[in-house]
Amino acid sequence: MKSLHIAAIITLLVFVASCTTTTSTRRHPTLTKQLEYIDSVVVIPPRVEIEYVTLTGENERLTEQEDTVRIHLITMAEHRLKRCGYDVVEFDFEDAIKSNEEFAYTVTQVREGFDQAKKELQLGKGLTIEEATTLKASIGEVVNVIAEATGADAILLMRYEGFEKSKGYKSKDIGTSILVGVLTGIVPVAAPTGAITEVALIDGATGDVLWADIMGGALGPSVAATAMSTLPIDVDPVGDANLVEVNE
Amino acid sequence: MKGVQAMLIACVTALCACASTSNVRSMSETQHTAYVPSEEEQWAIEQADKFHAELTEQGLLYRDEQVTSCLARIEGNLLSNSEQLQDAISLFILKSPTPNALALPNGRIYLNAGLFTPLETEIQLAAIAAHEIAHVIQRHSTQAIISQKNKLVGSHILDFATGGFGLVYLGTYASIMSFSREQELEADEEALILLEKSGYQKAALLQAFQALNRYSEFRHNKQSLYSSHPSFVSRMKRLEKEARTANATTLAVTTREDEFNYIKAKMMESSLRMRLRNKEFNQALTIVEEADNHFPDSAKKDFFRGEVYYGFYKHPEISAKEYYWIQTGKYKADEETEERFFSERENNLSAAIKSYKLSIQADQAYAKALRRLGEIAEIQGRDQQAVYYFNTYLKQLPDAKDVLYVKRALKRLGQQSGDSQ
Repeated sequence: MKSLHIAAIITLLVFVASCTTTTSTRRHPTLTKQLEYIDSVVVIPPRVEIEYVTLTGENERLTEQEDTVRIHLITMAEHRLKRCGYDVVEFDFEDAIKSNEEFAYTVTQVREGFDQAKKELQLGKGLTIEEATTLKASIGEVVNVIAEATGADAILLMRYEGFEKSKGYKSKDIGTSILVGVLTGIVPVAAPTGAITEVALIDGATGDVLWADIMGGALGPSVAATAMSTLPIDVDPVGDANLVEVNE
Repeated sequence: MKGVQAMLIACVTALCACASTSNVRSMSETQHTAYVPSEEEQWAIEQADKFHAELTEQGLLYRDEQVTSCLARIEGNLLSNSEQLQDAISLFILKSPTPNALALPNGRIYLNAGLFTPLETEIQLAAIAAHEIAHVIQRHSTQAIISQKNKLVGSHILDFATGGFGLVYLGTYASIMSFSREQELEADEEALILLEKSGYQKAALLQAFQALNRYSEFRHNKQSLYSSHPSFVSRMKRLEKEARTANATTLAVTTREDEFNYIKAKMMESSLRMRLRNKEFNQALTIVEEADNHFPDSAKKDFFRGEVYYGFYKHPEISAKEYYWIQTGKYKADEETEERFFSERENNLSAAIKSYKLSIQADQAYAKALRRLGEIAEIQGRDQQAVYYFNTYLKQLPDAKDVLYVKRALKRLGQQSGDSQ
């Protein structure tokens, strides 16, 4: 089933490549108002899955690469949050998850809640900016437990999925390209690697998804940096800041 | 061009057929020999171990005292005749609301929390466990994983033949790994033997299936026992025949129905919470209705009934979609169903308010309903009433998990938490 994700990544990459007049970013309809309550953010360790895809179906998880990407994603997210004006709360999730099954389950529920919210937000579908800022979704009060435990006003949730094709697979792609080229005159080029990143900022009190984005590209952390680039800057409590994007 | 492709597809189909055989032998065949699993089997076991590690890390297994005690008793009863099986098999309860069970090649069997809604006795639960144990004994799970892998090889080649755009691929991966009809029948038969040998009545399996069959809304659930077992009704008929011919036997094992009922209540509540979180309000309602028959704790039941109606009110589109899918198996609701859920929104809100109020009447201390009444009052623009409900909630449950939510609501309403009216 994991390989279904690979097919989904490919589909998404095609979608992302074809997006010109639509946006992948989702913003809560009352984002400015909601951001007045948000000063601090905690980053939940991202779910990272990178698969080495083989022709035999005996796919392997590239765990070392996953660990490297995970660390990079956290560093990059924290940096970006700080640049956007948020205080980043340090919290040892790994320890809390290992020592407390109930807390581990809470984190799972938050992730599952976001999976559900994604459907309501139609994340991954190109929408006009107007449409994308009218949709709203909440993952519910389960997020309160994490906000309470960490002392953060909001949480940043990330997911990263990638694949790298084996030599045999790449050869198959080349063979396919040649075959299709001979038969149709058009030579398709299949990517040897691919990745998608989802990022979401969730209000720790209401569970509302304040902002979310999804990006696709080649395997590596740069795809996440692109997804994070639309993160809204913090709005101070007096509400005099405008929502502008910080370009790096 | 089409001719070339057709020829290629034919060749590939033949290749796939060659690749789909497997030499996995059942545990009963190998119990008296030193069995060395093949590389493929070892790979399948490794995948299962990884899966188990992930479930544990995500906190998806129940581990409390009563659950452990009940599962240990069922394991003890069913596996008492075989040391080999005792070492090879472990039962777990998985935090999933779908009434289903899963046996993996490493001998780990997961009984979903959702099974406890339809199942009525510990004996029925033992019968489902026996069926899953039979899959492990027959090494069906190992065969399924390996055959899926072989299918993937086939689909890679077919993918190549049809242009390599991943369409065949998608279809193959989308099909959920399931056991064949023959494997299911084999597991039923093995389960009956296991039940009889360990002192359970053979009729328990039929009773368990009948209990599951009462839940029509599960029929279209791709993850449920029904859809992954397409011959469910014919299998029940076979079991009915078996029950008619079997000698009436008395139960010769220890069961603890009080403990089972305690776990049933807990698992039903847990499943209900999961359904509500997943916005599966129709399926949540089924659990509430089932609770009417089993548990007299009306404050909690009324609260959850309120949650279902509030869900219908807040998410009419999702609710219509789920309802239509339950009725027809189709993923997009027709206009009539959607219209009905939209036109009933206000009625559903009234029903939710009524249920929440009943919950508070039945038990003043059941304060959860106060929070919702506050939320509804805020939606309806009755700010003062909303503040009153939220403050009362905070007074009654100052350490509630959702205190942050309520404090934010009070802030929104221009109040500090604890302000009197």
